[in-house]
Amino acid sequence: MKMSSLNKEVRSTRMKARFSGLGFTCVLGASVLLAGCGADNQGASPAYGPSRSVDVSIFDAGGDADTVQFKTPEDRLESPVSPVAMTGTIDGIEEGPTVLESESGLGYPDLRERFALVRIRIDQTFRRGSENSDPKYVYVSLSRGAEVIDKDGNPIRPDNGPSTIADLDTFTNALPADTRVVLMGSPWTAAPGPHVLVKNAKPSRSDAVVIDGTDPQAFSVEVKPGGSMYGWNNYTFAELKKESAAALTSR
Amino acid sequence: MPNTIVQGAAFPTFDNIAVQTVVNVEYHGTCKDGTDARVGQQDLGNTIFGETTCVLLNSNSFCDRWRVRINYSLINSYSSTSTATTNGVRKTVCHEVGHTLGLAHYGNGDPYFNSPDGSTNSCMISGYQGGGQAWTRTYGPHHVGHINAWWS
Repeated sequence: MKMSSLNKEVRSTRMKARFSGLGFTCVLGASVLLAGCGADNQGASPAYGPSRSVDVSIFDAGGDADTVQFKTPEDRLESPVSPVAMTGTIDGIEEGPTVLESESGLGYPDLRERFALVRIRIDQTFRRGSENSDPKYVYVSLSRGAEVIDKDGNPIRPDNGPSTIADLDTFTNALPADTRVVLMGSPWTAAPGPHVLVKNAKPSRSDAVVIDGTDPQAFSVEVKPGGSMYGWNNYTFAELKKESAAALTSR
Repeated sequence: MPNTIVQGAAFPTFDNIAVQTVVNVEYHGTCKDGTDARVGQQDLGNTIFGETTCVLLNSNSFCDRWRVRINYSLINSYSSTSTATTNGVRKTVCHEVGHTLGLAHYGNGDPYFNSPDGSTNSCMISGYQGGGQAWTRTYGPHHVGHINAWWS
């Protein structure tokens, strides 16, 4: 986690250095903007898991979020924020929804945010969310980033600057198949607003629940087999799974 | 009302940047030359206080425009008084705008410790709103040092 933060600071340094002496403009919006796994971790060389570590920088693709942080899984599961609680493994990446916003009030959508869907093969279900949902798979929605667009929907890139949208291959490489995950979240919906339009990309398992993965405690991944969980730094996968199960069976 | 509170928190946050750092601040109704940050209020669900996203990169891969979203409803739900709500919004705006200046946050997974300023927190702490103390609306020496180095 510390390494992740350090990397982010270094990257930010490079991003900002070019703005020396330029003005900083503030525009104030006056209205709403708008299991493949077998046994749990038992030793230093587990015979399960992905071929490489998770690249946690992928979680910055959509920006930075300041989130409520629960000290323990029990605290989180006692609150109403986690109607879905499961363990599983990453099975693949799919195209997700697109959200169009009229952020500047120009009368047409001028901002487009794209999402990726992480397909999770369910290992153990603590809370299913919906009795009618697919019992074998669940999806996690992660932002790929947002971009300014013109009224024809074309991205605006001054001087052919790079895209702010991460492609799906980047997600596939960052989130290896068979990575173990713990979900404690709620279904994804677009942030509401009078000028928000959602174009859904249906997941391949159309009856599966889609969870919002913006909150790292909602979508916690095992960065490398046997190591700490991203989002729950003080826990291994086995510890997080055990405490989650205990919290729910004791209620 | 919520938008007024978010807007009311944004102005002193940017004014503070001009006081604490070398960054020049201007207020405009539309995006201009320089780095733009648009601050607004939006319902981001039940665990996200605020969110900052770069929506436009220039040809040198530096961010030219930021979207900053403040979840008034969630902050208000964690506050027992209107003063606490205002303080929470102010902390969140300070935190999110700090990202637009290049700062990373601290405290993920360990929300009460690991400030880069030792025992003193700053608004860049994540997941903890504080109680209206001065640190909830200012940047600590560590972060000010980074900002001034990057923006000088």
